[in-house]
Amino acid sequence: MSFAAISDWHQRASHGRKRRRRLAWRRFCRNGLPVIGLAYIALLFIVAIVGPFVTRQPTVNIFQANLSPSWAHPFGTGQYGQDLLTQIVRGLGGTLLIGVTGAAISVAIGLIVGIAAGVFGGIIDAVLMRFTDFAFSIPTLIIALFIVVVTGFSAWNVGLSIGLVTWAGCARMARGLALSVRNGTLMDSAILAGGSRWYIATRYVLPQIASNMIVFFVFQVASVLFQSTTLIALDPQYVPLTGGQLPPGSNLLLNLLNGGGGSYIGYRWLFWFPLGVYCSMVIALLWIGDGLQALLNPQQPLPRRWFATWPRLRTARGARG
Amino acid sequence: MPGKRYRIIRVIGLRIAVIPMLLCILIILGNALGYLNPAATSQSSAIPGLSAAKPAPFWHSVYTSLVAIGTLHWGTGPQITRELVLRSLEISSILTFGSLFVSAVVGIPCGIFAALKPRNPLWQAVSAFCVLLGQVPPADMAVILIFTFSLGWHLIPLSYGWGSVADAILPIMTVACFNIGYMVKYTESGMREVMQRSFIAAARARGAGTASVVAHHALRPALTGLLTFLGPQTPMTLFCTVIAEQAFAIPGIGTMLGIKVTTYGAPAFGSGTTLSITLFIFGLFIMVLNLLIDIAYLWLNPLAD
Amino acid sequence: MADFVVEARTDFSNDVSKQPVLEVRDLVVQFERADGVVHAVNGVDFAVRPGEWLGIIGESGSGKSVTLMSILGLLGEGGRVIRGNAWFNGVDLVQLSDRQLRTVRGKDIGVVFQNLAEGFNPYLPIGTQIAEVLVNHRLCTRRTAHRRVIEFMHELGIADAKARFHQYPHELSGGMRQRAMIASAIVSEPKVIFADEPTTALDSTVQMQVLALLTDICRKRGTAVVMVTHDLGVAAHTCDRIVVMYGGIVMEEAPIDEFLQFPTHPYTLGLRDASFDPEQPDRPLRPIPGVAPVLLEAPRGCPFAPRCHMATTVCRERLPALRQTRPDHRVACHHVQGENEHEPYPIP
Repeated sequence: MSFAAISDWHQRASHGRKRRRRLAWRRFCRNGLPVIGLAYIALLFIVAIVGPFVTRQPTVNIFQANLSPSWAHPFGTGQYGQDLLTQIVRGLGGTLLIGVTGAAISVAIGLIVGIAAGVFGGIIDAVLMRFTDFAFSIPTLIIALFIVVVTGFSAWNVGLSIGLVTWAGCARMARGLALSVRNGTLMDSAILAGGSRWYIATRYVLPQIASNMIVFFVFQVASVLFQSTTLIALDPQYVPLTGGQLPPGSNLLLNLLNGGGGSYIGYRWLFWFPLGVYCSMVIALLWIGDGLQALLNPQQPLPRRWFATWPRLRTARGARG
Repeated sequence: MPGKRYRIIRVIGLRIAVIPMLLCILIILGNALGYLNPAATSQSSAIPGLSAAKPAPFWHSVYTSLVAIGTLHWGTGPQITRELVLRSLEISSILTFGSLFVSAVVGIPCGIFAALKPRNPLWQAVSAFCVLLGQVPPADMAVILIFTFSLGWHLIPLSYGWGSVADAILPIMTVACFNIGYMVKYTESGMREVMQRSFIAAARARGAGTASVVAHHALRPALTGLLTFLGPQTPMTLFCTVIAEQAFAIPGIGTMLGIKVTTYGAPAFGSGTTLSITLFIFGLFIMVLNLLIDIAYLWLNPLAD
Repeated sequence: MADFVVEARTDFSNDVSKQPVLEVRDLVVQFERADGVVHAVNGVDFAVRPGEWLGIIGESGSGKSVTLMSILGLLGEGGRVIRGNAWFNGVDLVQLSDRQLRTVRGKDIGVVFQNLAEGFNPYLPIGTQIAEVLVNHRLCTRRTAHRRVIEFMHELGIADAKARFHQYPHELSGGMRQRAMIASAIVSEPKVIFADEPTTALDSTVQMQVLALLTDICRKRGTAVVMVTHDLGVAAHTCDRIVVMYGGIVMEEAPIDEFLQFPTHPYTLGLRDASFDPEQPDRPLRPIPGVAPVLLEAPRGCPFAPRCHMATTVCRERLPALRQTRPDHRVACHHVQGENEHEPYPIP
């Protein structure tokens, strides 16, 4: 005896694609921070790509050592008189490369392991998950450090080594998502329609968990960057006293980070500028990740717009909770 | 509830039983990796006039590392004695657990308040600052802390090494800064999520105030959410401890094992053995931490199996 | 101003000795959402007399639950009461602060939520959560609360109440959980109970058991019940009076017999035609065309006008007021003749 016409709030004819897109953009923007983060990261990528063509390799000039920031050297100069800005600009590309490579490798391995475990189930699931548990409890950075030693120090290898050991979190998350897709009725219909495992994994599971994986990827880039700073700090060989000559292929922003106490007292710019660039980069990534996450949870209520256009409401009682 | 208790004991027993097996795998893995190291196989040919010695067979280096771990008697140069090993383990665990404790005490309340007051700029700023702290590399964090607290404000006497309580404050703060970052982040997001759920509205309809709702209803689900994120972070916590030990010249396990490229590149006494001892010690640490997290999770969550 | 309000209240009830225990006047609730302001409730009036069962029926999204939650101040993020009053015990609940409302929630007004798995905290034993009402309001000590809750669970037909007290929500069946939910609402003996779709998620046999239990226990204690439902059958079975809501306004209000015999509003007629009637099993069901609106703008005319076969220009331009058509029967429609009017509403 219940109503025949039970309506749906959300599915209305007036909800066009344009409207949905605008809503998605507003969800992403939330309080403006994700947009700032996105713009900042885009700027860093442009600088990293264009920078090496515009700037020259920082030259050693003993007579210009440890100069404080000036118009000629906006970020000051290092111990041997190299321009710090040039060093940062040229080191940016390798650093971004570490983050993107590491995150891409770990997400790729994690996705394969997680989806295989989730879709096939049974003994494959059990074996892969025990393997993931094992990967969770190994000292990841020691193995990454060893891989770097064997393969040689470069941005590619650092990213590769960290990616190879940090896939466990992604695998566990992908398996959980794949299981939730598998237990839904959509999967039953796919099996009834005669879809093979491979077809189900690539056409049903992957598209549904792809959005979550993109969010995970953004956070993973930040995580890989943090781990690579720790990896590089574990090894004094590649951390020359600030501004020292770097081995070829290792001119990373991250190398400038571990400046040590000496530069903090006398030559503060050598400490704060690289650290500032690094931290702002990571925080911008976290903001983008937060914005994407808000995009994925449409149920989450949005905070009030900063520049609200609707009329001020006369309220008898404010919002609670 | 005898059923629940029995289940928890069984699960934890299984986890403990798996640990030795995983540690054996780690030792073998360490030795296998050691064989991949070109520096380890060409060690003897560095001395001119002597022909290169045959590399020891694989089982031999596994045996060496097992004996070294079993007797806690490592190293050939400056003797790493049993007392030294135990002492450095003790120091490192004080640093690790101390930092986890400090960051939980500071970070969880900050996360809760930031989640409960989404429009309060003060708490939002505190939460954002904590997340920023978590992203500063620990080597730089150590420098900042030294120059702020000991040399700037003269609050903590500057001292290197280990001995008094004051020596532990800054290293613990260094590691805690990393932990606070994700603790605040995950507590905040977990709390936000829990406060949206309908049982919170039901609890409020029964006349519970905000403090009671948070303490009795929301805190446990939010903390279980945090704990699931805490497990994958334990290795990083440990490596931050190692960096803090290096920065403050503290004789912990990181310093004792001398973790750096030269250890593996130019082996002290067979790189496979060194590597597997390092993996063993760190693996043991991580597994014990994860075990504690699992116990806390089972204790907090009646739905866990 | 105060005189006017008192007059209005005495005027409304034709039996002066039975003062309404809860009286809602011109309640307006809005939600701020990403795509604008949702006008969820646009001026709702109703009153509940002591011991009476009032059924609020309507489609999902018609503002039924929001009305009840806004009275208790339990609107989620972004929800605001714009104006209106909810008189209870001589105080206006809308004007109270959260702290003052807390003394009303649970103690004077109990709430039975929909039987979602989420109605109880999955992390706490069920008994603790039922006893929480008593402990929160300092009605008794923790130990007496424990005893009283077990007694009460027994009364509600929960077998083995002592063991159930310590069980977690996921260990109980849906019907048991709903009984426990009823227990948590009634254990403090409130004057009014808000039942928000109390039986929607249950299968029909359990549904009838739970309803019989709720009816029995509330009649015994003389508790008034406001029940939100979208099931006409459930409402016809249990309620004394029916309020039909659509688009955030009251469409029709009548005692149950009157409502079933002489439904007047086109929307109510549509509902009747759309639902199965056991007395006329061969009658084809006619759904109401169209879908319920999302009220992103304040409704200018009758919110039902786009789906109404009787709609004229005046329906689209002017919001109809609730008018008395018979004693105790009020309808908000331009095409229905009022009690004291001889002509229908003038239609231009």
